[in-house]
Amino acid sequence: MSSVVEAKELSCFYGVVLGLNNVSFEISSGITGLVGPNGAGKSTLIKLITGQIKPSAGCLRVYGQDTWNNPDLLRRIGYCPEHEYVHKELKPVDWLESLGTLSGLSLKQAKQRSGEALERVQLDKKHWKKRIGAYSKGMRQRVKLAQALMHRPDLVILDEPMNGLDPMGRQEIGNLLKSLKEQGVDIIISSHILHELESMCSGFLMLNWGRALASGGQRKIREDLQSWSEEIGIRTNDPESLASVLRDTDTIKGYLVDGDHLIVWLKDPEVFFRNWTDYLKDCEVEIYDVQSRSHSLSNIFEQVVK
Amino acid sequence: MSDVAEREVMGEGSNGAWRPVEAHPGLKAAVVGMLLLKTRIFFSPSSLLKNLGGGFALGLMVYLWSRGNPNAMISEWLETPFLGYLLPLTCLTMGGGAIRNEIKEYTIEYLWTRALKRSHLLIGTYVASVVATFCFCVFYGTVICLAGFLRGVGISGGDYLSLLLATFGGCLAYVAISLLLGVVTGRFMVLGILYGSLVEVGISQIPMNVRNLAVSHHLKGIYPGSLSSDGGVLWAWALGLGPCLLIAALALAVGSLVFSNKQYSIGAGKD
Repeated sequence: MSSVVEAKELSCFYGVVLGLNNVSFEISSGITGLVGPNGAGKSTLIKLITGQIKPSAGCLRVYGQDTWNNPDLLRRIGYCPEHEYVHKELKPVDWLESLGTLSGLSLKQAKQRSGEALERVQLDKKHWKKRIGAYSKGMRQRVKLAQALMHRPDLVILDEPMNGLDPMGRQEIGNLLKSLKEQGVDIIISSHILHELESMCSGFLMLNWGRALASGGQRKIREDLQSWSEEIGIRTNDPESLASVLRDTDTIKGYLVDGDHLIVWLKDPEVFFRNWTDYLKDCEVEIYDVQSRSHSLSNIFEQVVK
Repeated sequence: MSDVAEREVMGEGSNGAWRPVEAHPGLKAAVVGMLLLKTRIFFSPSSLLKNLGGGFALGLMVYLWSRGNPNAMISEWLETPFLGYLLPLTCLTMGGGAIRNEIKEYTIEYLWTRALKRSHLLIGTYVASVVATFCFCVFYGTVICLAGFLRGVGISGGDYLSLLLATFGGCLAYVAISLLLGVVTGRFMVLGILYGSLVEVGISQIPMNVRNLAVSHHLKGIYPGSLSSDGGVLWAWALGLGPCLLIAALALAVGSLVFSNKQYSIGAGKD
């Protein structure tokens, strides 16, 4: 798979304040989630990719091109910032028309595309005549997203695009991003809502304190984690008996009894699940439910940060 | 360019495929785009109301103050308070804030992530700011003339034309200087007033060549200068506008250089 973004020993400092510290990673085609707590360096990375700031050291290339002062690259990028500031004196169509013209569209095209983009982000037509200043946070979020799409970029970068959206709105935007991916658009999305990223993204870049902790798909990240252990939760009528049986099999690292739940950390999931029915033969317990607890993105992120 | 070819260049093939524009746009797109954006902001209802209100207050003030000797007062009002203070201060507010307010209000991110060179973006901003500032200043100047008319002091067509030219020359130079100050620092108003006091008021009074540095000195060469006075007035206008253009080009070149290379802390309002 071709790499969309490639960073080698990339650092960015704001005076003495650390933004990114010597990070190297690759982001492939598809939808990639940027994950990390506040101050992890996500916004710094986005600003670097969109050419707003210069790297202090190292190399950053997007589609094989340098990012700083490179209009040729910027024509391929659509950017939706995190903040909700917009030119609030303007109506959405007027704003999009102006930005579209700045992106190289003719006036006629900018007019047509601004309507298309607003329809695509599902901003109700009855609001098009209002000034953006009168919009709710969720509506502004949609207009911001529309301005990132109207010049049909190859790469869309979204910084916390779900902020201010209600659950329905989040689902609509999620569906929009999936449809963009199907059209061949690469997407980099930063969000704190990990379960939503999980359902959309094919790859992740995990950042913390200006460092890249892990990158790739969930499976690859799990494999990369040496201390990783699969965690499963089993709901049963007798967790103590089941725990004593499993302890003797030497396939688990540890366990915890929590009410009618037995939480087990596995040494080797493959061996464990192959022999799972045999273990149950040895004890007469009823199993109601078995769930993997460690496949969630938030769980992986917790492990990575540890 | 044919319609089909234009559609291709703009990234919209016959099948309406999703692909970006073929090549990054140039200066023309920056100027047209910024004209659309900035004029819509400058001429938004709130901004229009503020400027119209200011204009009428100015007209009323001139009308009331010119009771004693209206003939001399109107001419004095146009030369000193208008061309000397109101014009540069309007340019400072609108030109200096044209980029700086975008930085302060985070909206610059929508502009400098477009496929444009930053220098082109700055020139586009400059053109849009000159147009808007010129419109407002012409309105203020006309209001002063109207106040004189109500006092029975008419202004000749030639004088009005020279007033328009002086206003235009002033807008060209002052907006460029203000834009440069706004690009350099968030405290462009303070720096602008300091510049005005030192150069436009101070140096322009010195009877030596150094006063050529002051825009106000060149504006005095344009207004008053009626077409009917003598045939050399066209030359005087050219001599006045030429240096204004030169100062504007110089300020714009330095501004472009700074804006293309400086890294801004967005939202900070000052650096």
